[in-house]
Amino acid sequence: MASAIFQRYTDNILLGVTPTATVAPSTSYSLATLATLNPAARVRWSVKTVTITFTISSAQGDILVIPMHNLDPGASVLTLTNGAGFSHAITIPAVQADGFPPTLVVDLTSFSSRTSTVWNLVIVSNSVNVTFGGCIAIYGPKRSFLGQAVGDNFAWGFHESETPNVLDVANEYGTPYVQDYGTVNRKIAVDLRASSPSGLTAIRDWFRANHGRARPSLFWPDPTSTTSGLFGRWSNTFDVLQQMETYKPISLTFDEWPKGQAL
Amino acid sequence: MQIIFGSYNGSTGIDNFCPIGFGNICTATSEAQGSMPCPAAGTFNNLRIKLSVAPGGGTGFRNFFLRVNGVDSALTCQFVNAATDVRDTTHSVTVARGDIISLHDHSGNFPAGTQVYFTIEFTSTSPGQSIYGGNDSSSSVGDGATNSVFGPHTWRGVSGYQQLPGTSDVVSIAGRLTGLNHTLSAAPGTGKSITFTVFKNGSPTSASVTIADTATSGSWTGSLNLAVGDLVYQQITYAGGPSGSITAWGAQFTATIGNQWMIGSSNISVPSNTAVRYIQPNNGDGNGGAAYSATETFDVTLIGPVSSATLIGLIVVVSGAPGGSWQIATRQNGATPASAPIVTISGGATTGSDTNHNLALVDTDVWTWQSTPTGTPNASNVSMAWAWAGKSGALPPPPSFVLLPPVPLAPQAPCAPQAQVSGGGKGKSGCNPGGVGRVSSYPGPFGAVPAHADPVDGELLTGKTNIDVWMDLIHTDYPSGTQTTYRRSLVELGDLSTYEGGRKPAGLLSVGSVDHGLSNEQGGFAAANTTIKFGDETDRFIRNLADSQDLEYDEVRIKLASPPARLAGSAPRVPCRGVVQTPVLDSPLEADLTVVDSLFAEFGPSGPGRNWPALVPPLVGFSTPADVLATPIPWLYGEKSDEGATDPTTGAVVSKGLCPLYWLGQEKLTRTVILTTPPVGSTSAGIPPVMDVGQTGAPGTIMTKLHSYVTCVSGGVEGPLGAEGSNLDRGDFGDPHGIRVNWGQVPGVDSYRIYIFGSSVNDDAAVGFNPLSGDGLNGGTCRVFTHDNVTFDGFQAIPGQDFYVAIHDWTDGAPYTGALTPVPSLATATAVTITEDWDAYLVVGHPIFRIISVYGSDLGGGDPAVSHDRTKLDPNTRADILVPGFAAWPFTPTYRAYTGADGKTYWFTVIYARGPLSDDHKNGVVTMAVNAIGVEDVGDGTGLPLVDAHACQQHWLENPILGNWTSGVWATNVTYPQWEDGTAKVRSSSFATRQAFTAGALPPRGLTIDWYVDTTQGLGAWYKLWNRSTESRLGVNGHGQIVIWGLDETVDPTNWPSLDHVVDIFGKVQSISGQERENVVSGSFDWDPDASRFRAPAVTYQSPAGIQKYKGHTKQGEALDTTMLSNPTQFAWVLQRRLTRLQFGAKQVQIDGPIGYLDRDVGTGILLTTIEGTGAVGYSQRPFIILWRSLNIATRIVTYTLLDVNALLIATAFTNGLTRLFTITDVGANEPVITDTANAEPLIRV
Repeated sequence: MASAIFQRYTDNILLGVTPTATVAPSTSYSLATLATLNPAARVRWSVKTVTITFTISSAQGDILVIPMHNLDPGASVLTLTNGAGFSHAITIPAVQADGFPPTLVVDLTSFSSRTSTVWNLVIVSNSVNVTFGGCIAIYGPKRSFLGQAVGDNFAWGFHESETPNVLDVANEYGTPYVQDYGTVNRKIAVDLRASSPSGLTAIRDWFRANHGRARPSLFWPDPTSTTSGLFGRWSNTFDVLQQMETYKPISLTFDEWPKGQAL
Repeated sequence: MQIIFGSYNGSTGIDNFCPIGFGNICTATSEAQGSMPCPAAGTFNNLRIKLSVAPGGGTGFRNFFLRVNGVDSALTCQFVNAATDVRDTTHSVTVARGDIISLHDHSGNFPAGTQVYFTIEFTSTSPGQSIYGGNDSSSSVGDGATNSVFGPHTWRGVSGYQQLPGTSDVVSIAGRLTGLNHTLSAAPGTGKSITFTVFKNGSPTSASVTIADTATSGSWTGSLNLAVGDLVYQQITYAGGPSGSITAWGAQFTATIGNQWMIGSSNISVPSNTAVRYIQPNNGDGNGGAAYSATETFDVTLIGPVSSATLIGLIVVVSGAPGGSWQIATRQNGATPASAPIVTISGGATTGSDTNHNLALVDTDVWTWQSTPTGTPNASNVSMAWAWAGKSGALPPPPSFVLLPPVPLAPQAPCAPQAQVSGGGKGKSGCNPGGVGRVSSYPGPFGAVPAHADPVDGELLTGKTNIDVWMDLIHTDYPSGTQTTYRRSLVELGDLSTYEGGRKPAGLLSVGSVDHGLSNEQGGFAAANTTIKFGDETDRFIRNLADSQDLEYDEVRIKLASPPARLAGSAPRVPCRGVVQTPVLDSPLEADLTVVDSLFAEFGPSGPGRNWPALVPPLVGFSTPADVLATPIPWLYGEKSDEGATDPTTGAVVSKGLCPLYWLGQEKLTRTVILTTPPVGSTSAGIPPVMDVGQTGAPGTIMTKLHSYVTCVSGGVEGPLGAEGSNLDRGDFGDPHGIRVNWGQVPGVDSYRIYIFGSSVNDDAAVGFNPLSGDGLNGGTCRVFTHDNVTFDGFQAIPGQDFYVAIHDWTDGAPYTGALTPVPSLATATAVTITEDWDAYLVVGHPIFRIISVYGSDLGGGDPAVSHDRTKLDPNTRADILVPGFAAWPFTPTYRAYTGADGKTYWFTVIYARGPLSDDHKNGVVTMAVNAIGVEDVGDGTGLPLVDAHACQQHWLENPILGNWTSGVWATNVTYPQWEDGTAKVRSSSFATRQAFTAGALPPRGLTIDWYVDTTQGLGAWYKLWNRSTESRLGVNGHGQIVIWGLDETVDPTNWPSLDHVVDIFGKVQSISGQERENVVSGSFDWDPDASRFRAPAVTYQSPAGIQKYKGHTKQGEALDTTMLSNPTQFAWVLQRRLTRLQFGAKQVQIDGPIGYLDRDVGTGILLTTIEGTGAVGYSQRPFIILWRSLNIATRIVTYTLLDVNALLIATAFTNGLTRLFTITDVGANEPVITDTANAEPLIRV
């Protein structure tokens, strides 16, 4: 299994930046919503082609994250560019069976010219008017378990769970009464074994940088899968068993930030 | 001025005396036997003496003097030689009451057989008085003797001899006996007395004089009303055996019309029944002259007076029916003129009169009485009396005019002066308690209320499994007033901008249960409410708003829609509309908003401590007394009237008015009048005030059609007074007819001009007579008077009016030559503002359709000794009230706009009053009241009246309640109360539907009301009154609209939606029976707000079946005492329906179900199938009405509270349902009806 990627809240080079766009969102919608880091929020346009521009202090972008959108699957709609000449088409994964898009997570480190003050999301000819959830993030530098394994040895796996939100009661005849709220909760539970103090420190600093559960960030447990990334939050508690052994067991639960209802 | 006529024959000595009043002794040589006490103060003049034979040649002389208290006066006629006709028009003699007066005949030569005729004129000091009297010392004077009062007779000494009319006087003019004077030639003696008592129509009266002991005279002063035709005589009563004595008397008569007097006599027998006879007009006994004479000789005649006089009527009375007839004619100069009064009594008649002919007498005339029999009238044991009515001189000026009792200028003591610290209260109607029943004063047409479109129900939710919830908060910014709609949802809804405001960010944490429904049986009424919890941590939405703004009364809507409906743009369902009250910020970063229906919010009309109607507000410019300020502003729907009410015993119509009035204080009414240039040529120089200038017709023309018009003059210009002067007693003065005019003072003007228009052509010629415009002058002439604006004349024929003129003689003065037409046009006239003080009385606190009638104090008829009662007033003829819709109302709108101390404008219906009428109200002696028709459908008094119960109910909700109305036209189809999204707050269609239902049972209009609101209370109490009075329930539906629901037992429930427990119930089924049971109902109706009582007796119905089923117990609910209903049929309908519905108690069932329950609103029906129902298999398609609905948003479960109507609907209560045929026979008022259907439960009235 490839080394998992994780990013601190503060690794987001677009943090707190309200972008501009070539076309203003529809009435009652705001570009500022994109800076709220709330995938359940929405920004809608009444167009199918639009360029969204983030202007920042110069920084390097390694990981692109878009948790909620209605972009067409494939590589023909979205292009990420920057002021340094970076320009690459982004492949959109297929929509899930429940109507939700997988969280779009793209590792940019294989490309050059990743340091710039201007980053653009260029959407061209989407099949429907463009909608984003309230979060677009670019993280840098990339952090991975593998990166922390230099001189260390993580042994780990994860447990993935997904729960739709549904009201379900039944009367004495057994007839159910169901109300589907149309939203889903996902989470990943990880048991890590840090074999060195540096590994333990790296995970603990991730937790601390995110203020525990307070600040969302990225956890991409399997970078080989373009659909496995979660934009979400830690559980409330960082839990590590300090024992007089080489390996330090760490329990990590990461909840996906709900994306709201499917678009 | 009175003309006294006399005639006697012969003298017995040098000095003879004759009582001026003309007794039978006219030739007495003793002054004691030939004089009389003068019964009134006044002045004698114009003495004329005519002799049938001259004193003789040579030294013959004969001198006549008016003698006063034994001394000859300057008033004298002296004859020398051949003179036979002498007048003294130079001298006048003033006498006091009680002076002994006589005509002294001092003769140097008195040829035998000389007939002495005289006339003398008397003008009393007190206008209207005339004098009569006589003197008789005949042997017949004694205990029980009788004599006439006004005519010359001898005492008839046999007790019980009184023979009416032969020994009495017949009264020929209306008036009063106001004084008697008697003298005796010798005192009765110590311990003895002689009493003279006046009898009227055979009965003794209070008019009597007693002379006792050593006295030789006595008098009586009082008021004995005498009508034309009354028979009057006096009778002597001895006490203690007094000595016989010479008696003389004088009688003072005060005529109703002040220049009238009487002359007449009587006889104990009747004239010949076969031949013409004559007799001296005022000497029926024949003493001193001939009795009935076969010839018209000199001794049966009288002469004419120095001043002209007119005989204006003749009345003749006989004691028995003549069978044939006698014609009594007035003869003048040996003939019977066509204009002479003539009376014919024939057949079975015993009296006759003629007031249609007038005979003028001048001093050259000789006149007398003539009888002509026809058909041999019965002359056996029959007596006769007769009298002329005469008049002479000008009508005396007021205030001595006494026909109409003077109206007191102030109310009964001790209430004057008016303290004006109280409004006077209400319900004080004296001895007029009013009657029962009424007769409607208005048959229609009637008004209507706006019909608003029902809102769209929104998405049907049945079967939907995904429902999104969001909230609209419509915030009104302070201070800009700009409205902003904020939307929040449980999860962000990224809707298109064209759908419900577009984006709906998350932020709602939860929404509590949303409840709404119909009010309960007792009127308990709760509207939609819920609690909303916000998460404020993301954007501090509520906290930011609350930092500088108040959220209270911002409107909130909760909305539901499925994602497909949102995507399709379908209207959402709105289960709750309300306003925010009591926002709470809670940790951690949460906020709670309580949302309630605007009706029940703290600030709404049903909020805590809120009462309706408000109390009478202090008004700018008024000093309203405290008790009135503590009075609710009255409100009226329908016709509140007792017009046509009758006394249940006598059947007499006795109305008194039902709507009390409240004194707001005094108001200065400023009016603009148009003054034009006065006609030229009128002047008052040298002419008495009441005899100014002009005449009403050519000399000799009889004016019978008289009209008046009063103008005011200010600054040299003249204009209308504002109303035609009040004409009184037109024609009462006889021919030529007179007129009296009253009018009220207009402060600030210089003087008044009174135009009297007379026409001998016809009344129509003077219709609309207006000298300022020249209208109505055809066929007649006009005369003009002036009157200052200072001298109040003190005679108020109409209360509250200050000035008075009376005229009757149209030949005075020179013809008026001033131009009456043309007059300046209004375009060139000058506008002058006048200001008057009036008492303003609040009728109701809104414009109304009509004031039908006004009632107020009768002021005791002007008699201070008589209690004051409430009577109907005519605003069209009175000058002391101004009433909207009547002639004198000075404003265009029928309401008045006042400014309250709170800055609001109030449109009140008021009337204005002043003078004693108003004082009586304020003093609480007799308060005023009106009958009226209340709210009309426009709002400015120009619409048609609202009477339909549910139309009035809708109007009430939309205007005074939801609209907080104080002024302006009523809510229209544009301005009706709306939620912010345009949804009507009142579902007008439900009110129209319910009214139509009642119309089916109570044709043609259905239930109607006459609701006068005179108490203030919370709206819950009013809802209860509405519910109970109209057999319906108010409520709030799923749109937040106020709706009305009532049971329609004729409905077919077959197609009602079905709910089956298997698939539609997700919770408990709970049933409660026997609620609100009433097997006996009773109540009262027909409210009299003035008297604060019900006008109709209480009504009770009971259900024998209901009592039997309740184990023989009776259970009576609260009495249905309604102030809304007055129609007994309608009230019985309401009671019977209530009893039918509640006789076994109500059964309610509560069930929980899916969100699709929201598709059915309160007041609609469902068919329920559940094993939990009663009976072997429970309920199967059993009909219920949804009374209450509660949505739990967290669980998406809706709870119904249902009313079981299975036993109430004809379709389900009876075997054959709506197709059932049945018969009902009502066998008696207190017996059960007989039916052919066992389960048709009878009701009986007890």
